[in-house]
Amino acid sequence: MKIQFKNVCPNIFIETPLKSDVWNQDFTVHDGMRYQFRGQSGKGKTSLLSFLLGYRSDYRGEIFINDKAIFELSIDEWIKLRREKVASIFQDLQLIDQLSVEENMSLIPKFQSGYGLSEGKKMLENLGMGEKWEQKVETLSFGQKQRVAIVRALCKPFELLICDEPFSHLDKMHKSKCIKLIEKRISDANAGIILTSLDGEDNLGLKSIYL
Amino acid sequence: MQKLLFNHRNKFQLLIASIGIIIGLILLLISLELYHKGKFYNESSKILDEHTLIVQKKVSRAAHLGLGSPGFSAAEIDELQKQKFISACSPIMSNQFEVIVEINDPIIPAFNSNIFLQAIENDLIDISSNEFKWEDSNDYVPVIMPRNFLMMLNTFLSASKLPQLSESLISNVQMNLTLGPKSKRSVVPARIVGFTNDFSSILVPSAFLKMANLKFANTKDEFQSQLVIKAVDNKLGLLESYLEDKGYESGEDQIFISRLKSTIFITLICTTSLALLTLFLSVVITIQYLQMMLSELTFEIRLMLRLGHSIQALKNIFLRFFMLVFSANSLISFVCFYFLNVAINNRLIRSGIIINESISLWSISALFIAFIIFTILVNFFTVRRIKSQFHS
Repeated sequence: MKIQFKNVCPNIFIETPLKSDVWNQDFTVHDGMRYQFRGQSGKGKTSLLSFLLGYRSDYRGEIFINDKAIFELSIDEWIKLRREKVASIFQDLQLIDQLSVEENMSLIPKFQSGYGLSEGKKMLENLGMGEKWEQKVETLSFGQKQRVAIVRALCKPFELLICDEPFSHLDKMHKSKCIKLIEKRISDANAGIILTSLDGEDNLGLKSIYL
Repeated sequence: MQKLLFNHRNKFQLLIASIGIIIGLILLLISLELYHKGKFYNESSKILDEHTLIVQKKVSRAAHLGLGSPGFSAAEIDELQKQKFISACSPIMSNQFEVIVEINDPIIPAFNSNIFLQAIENDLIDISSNEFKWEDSNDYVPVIMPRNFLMMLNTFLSASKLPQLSESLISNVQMNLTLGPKSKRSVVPARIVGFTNDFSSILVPSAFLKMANLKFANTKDEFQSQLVIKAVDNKLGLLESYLEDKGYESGEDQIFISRLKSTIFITLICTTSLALLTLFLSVVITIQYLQMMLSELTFEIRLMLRLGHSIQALKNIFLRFFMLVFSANSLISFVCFYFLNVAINNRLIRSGIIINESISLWSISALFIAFIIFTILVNFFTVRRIKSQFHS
C-alpha cells in the first residue's frame, strides 16, 4: 500500500511553524516498507496515525492512499481498507473490559484462512497468555492487555500494520516474543509496517522518520 | 456481539415504551375495526345513500276532512327541485291495482299475501342497473324485498314449525306476482335481486310499474304520496329544516341511523387520535432509548467501525432487536384486540345489531403500516448515529 503525505500539518501546529521529516513536507510510504516515526511526546505521532486511518481530519494538507486522496474515499472504500488492508494496534489498546480475551478477539469481522481464533489462541499461548483465554480483559494487567491487542491486530488480514507505541508496557522477554510474532506475520503477508516510538525501535528493520 | 450491545442494559424505559405501544396499537386496531363495522353497518341492505331521504306529508286532521291533499302536487315537486340544497327529487310510484305475492315452492308451504309495489328512478338507488331493469320481453320481474317481509315470512314458518329461510335461500324460491282485479288477473314470475331496510314495500323497476298501472288500473294519473329527495353533500341539515317548515316528514330510522353513525364516528375519530398520540409518544420513547443505547455504546461502535465492520452490519443488529421488540408488542396487541373484538361482536349481536364478525383488512393494514413506519424510524436514527462515529 502506497501512502503519501503532502504538506500535512495538524491544525494545532499551524500557528507555530513546524518542520520535520513529515510535517509540512512531501513524504511517501511505499508498498511493503517498514518505518518508525520517532519523536518526543506531543510531536503528533498518534495524530499522524489518526489522520491516516481517517479517525481525525483536523489537519491541513493532503494524504493519499494508493494515489487517492483520503477525503475522496467513500465509506465503502474505508470499510474495505479497515477490514482487509490495514491492521492497527492502538495506543489505548481499544479492548472491551467487560468481554473475555476470546470475545475481544472475536470482534474482528473477518478472519482470513489460517488466522482464525485458534491461530490467535496459539499466538497468545506463545506469549504466556494461554490460561487467560476465557478471562475478562478487565482482570488483566496493562502489559497483558497489550499482548491481546497485538495478537488481535495480527489475526486480521492486512497489507499495512500500524502500531502506536505497541511495546510501551512490555518487559524485554515479552517484547522480544511479540517482535518475533510481528516479524513472522508481516513477512508472511508481505506487508509494510508503520510504528511510532518515543526512543526508537532497533528491531524489525525499521527506517526512522523523525517528527 | 449481541452480548456486547444488549446485555446488562437497563430495559425499564423500553418496557414502558412497549406498554405504550401495546396500548396504542390495541386502541388503534379496535377503533379502526369499529369504524369499519360502523361504516358498513346496514350498507348491504341500504339502497339509498346517507344524503337521500324518503319524504311524505305529515298526516293531519285537515287531510282526513278533505281540506288538504296528502299527496304532492306537481307545483310542490317543482318547488322542491328548485332548492339549492336538493340535488335530486323524484316521486315514488305506487301500484294503482291489487297485487298478491305468492310463494309456490316445494321447500316451504304455499303462502300468499296482498302487498304494495313501489318504484323509483334507478339513478336514486344504489343497485346494479343490469340486475334491476325490466323490459316487455323479460321472463320475470326483478324485485327488491323489504327485510320486514322476510321477517314476517319467517314468523309464519316458525309458527308452522318449519325451518326459517335465509336471504340466499329465499332468493331462489319460486315466487309469483298476481296483478290486477279478479276480472283480468295476470301472473308474473318474480325474482329477488336484493333486500332493503329503507322501504317497506316491494320495489320493482319503474318501467314495469308504469306498464302495470296503465294495463291494470288504466291510469296515467299517479297519486304521489312519497318522494325521494337527495340533498347536496353536507346540506342534509338544511334539507331537514326545510322539510320541517313545509310540514313534510322523513323516515326517522334513516335520520336516526345517520346521526348515530356520525356520533359514533366522531367518538372513534377521538379514540383513533388518542391511539395515534399514544403510539407516537411510545415510539418517541423507544427512539430515545435507542439513541441513549447508541450513545452509551459509542466506544464499542467506534471500535467495531475501526476494526472494519460495516455501518450496515452494525445497524442490522439494532434494527433486528427493535423489530423483534415491535413484533412481540404487535403480537400481544393483536391477541388482545382479537379477544376484545370477539367480546364486542358478541355484545352487539346480543343487542340485535348484526355486523360482520371477521377482522377487517384495515386493522391488519394499520398494524403493517405501523411496523413499516417504526422500522424506517429505527433504521434512520441508527444509521445516522453510527455514521457520525465513522470518522472518529
